[in-house]
Amino acid sequence: MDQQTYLKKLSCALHWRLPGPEAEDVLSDYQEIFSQRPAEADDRIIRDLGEPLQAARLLTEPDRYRRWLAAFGWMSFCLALPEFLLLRARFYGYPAGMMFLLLAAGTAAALMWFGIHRREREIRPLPKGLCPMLAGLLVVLAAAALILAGLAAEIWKELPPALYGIAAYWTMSLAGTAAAVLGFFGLVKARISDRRWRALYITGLTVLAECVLVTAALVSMDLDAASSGWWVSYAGIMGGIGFIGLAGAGVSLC
Amino acid sequence: MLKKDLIELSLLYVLSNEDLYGYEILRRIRESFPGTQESGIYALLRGLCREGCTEQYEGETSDGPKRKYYRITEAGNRKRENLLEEWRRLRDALAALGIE
Repeated sequence: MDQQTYLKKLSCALHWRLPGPEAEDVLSDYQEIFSQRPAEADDRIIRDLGEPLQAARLLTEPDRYRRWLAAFGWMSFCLALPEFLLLRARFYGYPAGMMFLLLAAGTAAALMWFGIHRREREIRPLPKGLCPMLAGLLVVLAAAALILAGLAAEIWKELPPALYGIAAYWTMSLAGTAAAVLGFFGLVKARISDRRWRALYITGLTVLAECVLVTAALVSMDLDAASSGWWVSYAGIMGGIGFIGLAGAGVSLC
Repeated sequence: MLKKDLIELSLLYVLSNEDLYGYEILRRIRESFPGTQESGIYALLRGLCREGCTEQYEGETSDGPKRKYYRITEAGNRKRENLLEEWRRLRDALAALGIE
């Protein structure tokens, strides 16, 4: 293993286990150590220094690391529960309150955790890849909405009406799962790379919550659905969820 | 007294003689404890910093970039004395049993 590879692996391990400024400090110490090691000692790096993960583990303060794991577990749970509900597609009542609660809890946790522990003053360009991923997530949501609208308007004549329900379920499940995966990726990147990746987590959580609400509306036995304005109350709830999510994502990018 | 304490004692001892930069500290300690990896020694050095036994400062070098130097503090001197005392007690106890 050469020095660059070692430092890259060490950087990931340190940022995962230590608060940002401390990880940077340790990394600069290792860079200084490497700058003084003879170049021919590259093949002895592991023997002399140990594996990067082991080096990071030795520097970990157990209490602080446990607090991070608890926060990470909570934020992951806020993604995992809606994903489970979405895939199961069986609801006892309309889950608007639960989705509001999970979105608020996940957003607040992401804003508080990364905001408190990694406060920075200088303005830096957004991390590479964040904007395309955010845009991709919104495209997934828009595509799912278009497919659902197409099903509702019955524009796909070749699709038998008996399959409309299955098509809608799979559309929402795939869109929601993509959002959950990207949201989780954003959460990990927020820890090991740049705190602003939490915007992807919050947007993923929002899209997932929207998918759950649409699926719940589709599988509900709502007798009012036959009337012309049945969708107004659902649109209000989904609009509220979308507003909270977008506001949280906007704050996360600051 | 564990190996960790012995390495901490050695770290505090070399720093009580002179201020040193990171790599030099690791090199010297590793000469005495060849079976110990530098990451382990560095973790102990950082732990001593966190406890306030040592502190860092940026020092000038004549032929290169600035280096982070370490120096011992008053708390470090006290800890070194305590560890040294403990080491002597252990050594005497072993000697009393005939272990040299």
